Amino acid sequence: MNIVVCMKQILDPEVPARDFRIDAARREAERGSASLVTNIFCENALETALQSGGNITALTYGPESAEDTLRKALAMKANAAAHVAGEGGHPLHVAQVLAAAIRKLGPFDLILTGRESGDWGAGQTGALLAEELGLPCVSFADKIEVMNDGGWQMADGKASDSSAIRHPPSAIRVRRQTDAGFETVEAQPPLVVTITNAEHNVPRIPKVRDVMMAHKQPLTRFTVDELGVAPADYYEIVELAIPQKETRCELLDVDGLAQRIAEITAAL
Amino acid sequence: MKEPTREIYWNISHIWLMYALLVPAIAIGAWGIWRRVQRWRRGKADASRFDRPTLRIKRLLDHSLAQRRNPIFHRLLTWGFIVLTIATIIVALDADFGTAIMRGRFYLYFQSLTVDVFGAFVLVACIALAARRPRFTPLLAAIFVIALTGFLVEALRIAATHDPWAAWSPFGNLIAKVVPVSVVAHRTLWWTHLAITFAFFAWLPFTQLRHIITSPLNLYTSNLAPIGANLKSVDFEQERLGVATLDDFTWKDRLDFDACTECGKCTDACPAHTVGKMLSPRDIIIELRDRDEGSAAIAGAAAAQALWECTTCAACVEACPVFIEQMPKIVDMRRHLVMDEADFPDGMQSAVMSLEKRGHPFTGTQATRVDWTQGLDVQHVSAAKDADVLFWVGCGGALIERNQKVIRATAQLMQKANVKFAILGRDEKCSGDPARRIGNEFLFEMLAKDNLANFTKHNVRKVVTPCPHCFNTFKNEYPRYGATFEVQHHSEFLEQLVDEGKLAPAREDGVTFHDPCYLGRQNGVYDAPRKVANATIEMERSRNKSFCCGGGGGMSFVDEPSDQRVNQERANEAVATGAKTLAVSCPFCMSMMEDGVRGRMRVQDISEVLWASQQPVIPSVARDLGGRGAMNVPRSPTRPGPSLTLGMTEGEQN
Amino acid sequence: MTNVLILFAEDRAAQGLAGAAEQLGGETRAILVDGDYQIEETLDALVDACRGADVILLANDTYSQEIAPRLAHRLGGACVGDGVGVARVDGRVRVTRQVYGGKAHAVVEVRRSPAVLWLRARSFSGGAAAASAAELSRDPGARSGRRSTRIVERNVSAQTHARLEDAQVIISGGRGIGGPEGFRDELEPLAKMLGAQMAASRAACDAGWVPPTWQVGQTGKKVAPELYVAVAITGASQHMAGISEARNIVAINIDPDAPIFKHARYGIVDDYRKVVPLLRERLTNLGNHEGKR
Ligand SMILES: Cc1cc2nc3c(=O)[nH]c(=O)nc-3n(C[C@H](O)[C@H](O)[C@H](O)COP(=O)(O)OP(=O)(O)OC[C@H]3O[C@@H](n4cnc5c(N)ncnc54)[C@H](O)[C@@H]3O)c2cc1C
Ligand code: SF4
Ligand code: SF4
Repeated sequence: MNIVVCMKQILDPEVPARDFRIDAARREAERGSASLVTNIFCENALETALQSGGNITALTYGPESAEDTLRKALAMKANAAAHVAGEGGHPLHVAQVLAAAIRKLGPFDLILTGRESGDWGAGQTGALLAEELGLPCVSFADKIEVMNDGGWQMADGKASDSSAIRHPPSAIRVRRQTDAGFETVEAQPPLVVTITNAEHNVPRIPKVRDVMMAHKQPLTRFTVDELGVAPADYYEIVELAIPQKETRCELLDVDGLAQRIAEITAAL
Repeated sequence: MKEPTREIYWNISHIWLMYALLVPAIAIGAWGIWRRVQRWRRGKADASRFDRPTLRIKRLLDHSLAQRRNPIFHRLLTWGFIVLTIATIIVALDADFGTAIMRGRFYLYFQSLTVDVFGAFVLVACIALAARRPRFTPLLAAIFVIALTGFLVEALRIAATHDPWAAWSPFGNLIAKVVPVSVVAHRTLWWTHLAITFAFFAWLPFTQLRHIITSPLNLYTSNLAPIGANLKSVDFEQERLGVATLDDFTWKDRLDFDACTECGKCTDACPAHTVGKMLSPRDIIIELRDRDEGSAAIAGAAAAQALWECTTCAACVEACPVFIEQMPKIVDMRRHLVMDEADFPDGMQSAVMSLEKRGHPFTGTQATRVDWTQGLDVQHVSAAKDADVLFWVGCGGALIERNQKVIRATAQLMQKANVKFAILGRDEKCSGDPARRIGNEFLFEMLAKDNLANFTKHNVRKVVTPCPHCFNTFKNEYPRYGATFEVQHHSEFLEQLVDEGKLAPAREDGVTFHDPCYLGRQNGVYDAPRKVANATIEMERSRNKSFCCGGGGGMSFVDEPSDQRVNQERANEAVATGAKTLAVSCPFCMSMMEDGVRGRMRVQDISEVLWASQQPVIPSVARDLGGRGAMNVPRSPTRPGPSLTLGMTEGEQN
Repeated sequence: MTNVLILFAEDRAAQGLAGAAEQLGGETRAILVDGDYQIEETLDALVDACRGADVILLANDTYSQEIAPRLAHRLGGACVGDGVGVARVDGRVRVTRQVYGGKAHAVVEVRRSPAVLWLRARSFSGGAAAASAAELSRDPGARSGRRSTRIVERNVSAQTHARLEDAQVIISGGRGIGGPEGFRDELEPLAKMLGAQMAASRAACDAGWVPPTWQVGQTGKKVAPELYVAVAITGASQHMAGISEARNIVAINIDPDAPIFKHARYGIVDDYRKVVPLLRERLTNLGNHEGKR
């Protein structure tokens, strides 16, 4: 089974609010002293892929620094990694770039993305990617089982079941989270799945040996031009601002507090 | 009167039999030792263990003869053992090499009186030690029987020969008065004594009594640097990182195992063990000693669970009478679990992940590294070229809210003393201590190299830090990567400022001090913090015997079972002193102790105690601080509560 | 201009969506998607049903979030999600939404038609609900050919509570609560009133007053509610580490120096035993007023 996991590098979501700055004119966040990290849901996606066993390619679209995300993925034991150099763009553009790269790298049985990214949080990449590739899509999944030689194979956390790697699965079963609980979806590959977090897909911590090895592994590299993706209209960010948050504590009496609580809960 | 002496082999014939017995005894004993030596030799290389011979000999004498870490009875036993062995050798010399040492005064003072007295010591020591253990171990019993038969043989000889010098052997003489005159009994007992003694020496290398031989070797080759410099470096070209099997230990580790006397002092001192956890450094050492070549190291007493309970406090290392280095071995095994297996506790995993991502070990903190500077005029190194001191704040100081007050107090003290200092602010990264103690040497090296590059860039010559972990790492571990700067803990630096009269000494009464493991035991700084905080009340366990706060070795990132908390045990001890204030001098001790005392007493950093004694309160500082900073100026009854000045507005940022 | 509201089941969100549609102007009709939601089939049917619409509005349930971008793509439009405000500026649809985990907000202008938006429906004041919602008619033999997924099992979580991590409102108690009775008699009734989840500091969990699964903080759960009410909690940094994503923190603490006040948006310095019963009373009154309105 061949799996591609699309991963994004983002500004550390844990950057303290007081260190968070934006460039209002360019309508972008400033890097400042913050770190760049892999989006957590993308790591959940890679972990889910590792648990279902298969030949895994990590794919990222982003600036040079995004190579770190791929190295980390390789350290977690992705089998290969591909980097499309380029930056920014709306969700449709990103989906088109990823789709073009996937067509070059493929074929794949499973295409995984995170449910959304911790920076802009648009939550569209997986869905648009499915449309671009003409594939069905299941969202908010946290577990994938594979049907092989007539039996469902539970993901057991061990990546290298050789039969799972060799044969394209005849069917895939996806568990996904809903508002009320969860649903089980049966599907035929190829298929796009967006992944959310759960207790059982917390990204593994790589072994130091694998971290060291990951730095020596070759990457497949593309540019947006090479992939022949032209810019398209979708949407524009016309304003970006840090809300003038009241960071001071307002001391109230019970009446005042009840009023505020009522307001906040009414807006939910 | 004749020259004082006695007849060697009186009443004994067939001396050839003695030699016939001696040869196999020596052979078996030697083979036993040889086996152990071979085992050591199979170990990996270790750091230099033979430099500075004078220091090494001094340590050897201090701890094999003076035995500073042992109870008096063990010393008596050792001395008795040595004296009796020398006496026996002298007998052999006179008998076999025709020398005439055993004569005259020497015979009276040494061979008779001293030997007799020390023989008595051995008997007493055996009983006393057996009472402490509390049982008569086979080894103690054997020594006791050897000494006792020795006395009986002597007594029978005195009784039978009417020895004119009998008074010089007071104990033997005493027994002689009650034994019958019997040459047969003498002869029988003589051979019995001899047989037991020979058997004992043949048996010795196969028991923990081999420490008679191994512990002097171990003392001579022990680590001379402060304990804080004990951890080994890792060769990343090796097939395995850290210790997975017995094969991965060094020759010195293996000698350590064999030097263990099984006395249990390490386990008694171990904070994790004391609060009821599984960890027992003694059992780890003993089990590793008895494991076969090639077998897994991490099992049994050294199971992963136990390894992850260690706070790396080094109480075990400090307590061990033969200088075994238990804690570094625990870290060696952790290294394997972390770097080869990626199998370690969740809390430590998130600390490691956060260190990788953002250079500090905390998850979810909303504090920044410069929050504490609000309202203080503190400059970044790049803007303060004339600064004499780099004030290294540390993650625990900058990012744990309670400690921000400590950092402010320290900074204000330095300002008051007109110290020109600067900070690295957002450019600081964790010194790497937690990564290293958790076992991720790779990450530690990365952080160390990053920080060193920063120091070099800003031409840092001297660092002062309130964090003993950073202090230890800079002082003992960064030099390996080329660091040459001077480093002081803030306790030492503040003491100096007080001594120079630049700061008023602390006046506070009723202060007790908790020694941080990485300042006290691991680097020998005990007096400076006490002086800075005027801490005059001592806890039951203090200075080198101090009890860990529970926060070292990555333990402040994991949740301990509520009935097995090291910080509780220590906090209770502090409360029991009746002191008003518990002074600490480490950001992690601060967290652990505040959590532990649960409001029963005040916990303050030594710098806060000292700051409270600086009079008069500088009005400008109080004004600069506004309501927020009021917490940092000496407590006054009119401290404002949280007001609209709480927090800070966006505009204040830099 | 036509707006289409897409509703999954009889959703409370309908009013909010209708309100958003009113702000955008134009005619509005609603489509109700009935019980058996199957991803690809439903999408095909919605594509047919939405042709010609300028704006398509959905709520923030998982089905809406899943369908919206794909619907936009099929119709040649563009999607914006998680909107808390909408406007039409020079004929173009603009959506306000939070980004960077709430640290900033952005205004997004849609450059394609139709604009397919999923919104935090409760952030909008209710509009006149569309007269009737037409049921979505589905053709079981839809054309897209992507018939290859099938929801074969639906599990409604046995747990009536949402996961603490997903809770919108959390009432959390600390050591100052003093015992399990305080949690039971004071905090739980308050939580019930607000539809809130209960949580606690480690000190309270350790004391055995509440289950350990309630612990929030560095070594407990990390939560991100709209409202976090910290009752008798000091606000140690290990606790705060778990609530850095909380939007509004309310602190009730007897000690004016408690660090929690540095993080809280609103606070009361007093004994919780006095504050909480009063608070319940006032909230009940407020609720009644609103009910009458
Ligand atoms: C390694 C480590 C990990 C930790 N992880 C966590 C964690 O994940 N989560 C966590 O919560 N803690 C954690 N802690 C513990 C943390 O440091 C604090 O000890 C703990 O959060 C304190 O809980 P508390 O605020 O409930 O109790 P306290 O600190 O005892 O505070 C009680 C508060 O109640 C107030 N109060 C008392 N009576 C009343 C009253 N009648 N009305 C109103 N207010 C009143 C007091 O003023 C005080 O502020 C951790 C600690 C360590 C060392
Ligand atoms: S270092 Fe401290 S915690 Fe670890 S084994 Fe030794 S005494 Fe115990
Ligand atoms: S390691 Fe040292 S302290 Fe521990 S039992 Fe052995 S000899 Fe005693």
